[in-house]
Amino acid sequence: MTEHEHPGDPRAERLWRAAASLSRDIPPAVDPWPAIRARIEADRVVPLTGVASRAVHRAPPSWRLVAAAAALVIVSSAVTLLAVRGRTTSQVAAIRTPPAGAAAMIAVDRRRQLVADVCGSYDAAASDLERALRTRRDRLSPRTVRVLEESLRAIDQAIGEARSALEKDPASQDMLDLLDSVYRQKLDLLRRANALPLRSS
Amino acid sequence: MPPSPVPSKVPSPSDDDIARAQRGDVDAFERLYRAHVGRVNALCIRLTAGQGADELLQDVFVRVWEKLPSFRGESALGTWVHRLAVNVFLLSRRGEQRREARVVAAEYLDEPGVEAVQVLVRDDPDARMDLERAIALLPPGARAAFVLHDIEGYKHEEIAEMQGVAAATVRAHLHRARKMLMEELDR
Repeated sequence: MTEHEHPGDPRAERLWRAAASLSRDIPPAVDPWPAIRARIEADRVVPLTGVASRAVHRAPPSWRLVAAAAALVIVSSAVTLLAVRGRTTSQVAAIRTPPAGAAAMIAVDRRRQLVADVCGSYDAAASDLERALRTRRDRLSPRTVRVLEESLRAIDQAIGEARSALEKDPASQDMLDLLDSVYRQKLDLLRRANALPLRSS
Repeated sequence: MPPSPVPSKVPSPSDDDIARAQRGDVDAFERLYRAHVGRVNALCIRLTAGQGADELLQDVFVRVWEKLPSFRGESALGTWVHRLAVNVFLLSRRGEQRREARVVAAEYLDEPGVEAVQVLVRDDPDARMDLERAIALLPPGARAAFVLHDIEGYKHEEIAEMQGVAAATVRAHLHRARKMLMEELDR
């Protein structure tokens, strides 16, 4: 909007001034780089010619852990996540070709580091939000607190199981995507909880 | 502005970082990412009203990585990245319309726009809170038109081209957005 679009209109000029004052540069509260890097690394794939190999190399199906969490709080399940990203078809049809020998060990170490980076970044952010929430907890309604605690327990369980699965199979991009998704849902839940109106004491 | 939580140990991008990243150098790409993430994040938060902004931000930079080899330097990298971010948002919105994705079903935990407002106003709450909150509550089409035209400076025709609609439609959305925002600011 320019000032000339509404000459003499004080309301429009007020809106223009307010819009012009907004910050154009806002650092993310949680650095998404580790997750982005993990996705970039994962995209370096070699198309699979046989479906059988996929069954061998993919992570064991731990989807039930998502289902458990979803039953309580998560409507956008891991399956939904993969589907809406439009990656299901292409990623399911492709598989990382396991490198051989020393290269394989380096690749596994690098994946483990990526997983650690993702977890570290999210854990730090979640810790800050949980600390803030603890100061508000007593002024939230008991029902809200109960829902929050149940939801966080389910999410933390899902995170724990996803991390365990990744320790066994660091190459599983599906599991890393799932872990990333569950962590983001945890942060979203905590942010919402911190924004809830408090009961007057 | 509060200190950035994004690590600052990564050096600023050099002139050849674009070429390096185009050849697959992830470290060079990280420097490009650091240089542009704040601007793209602000765009993502406003366009999404905070709903899924984190995921959109990731998607944008993954897309930037994928498309970077096609960058020919005909515009500044920041301009190109920004435009790509808008396109990724528009594509994701088409997907959003086909799904329902709610983290928490409890209605009393569902307050659209709160996250965006919190993030955006923390540096200067008095000056910006009203407008940010009002923007977050706009209907999606009106919000996109206002953010892209009045905040980010795109022309009607550019927005129309990106959205695949007529420029008149963008003007109508923008008119509606301004009207609603002015009413909100008058309260």
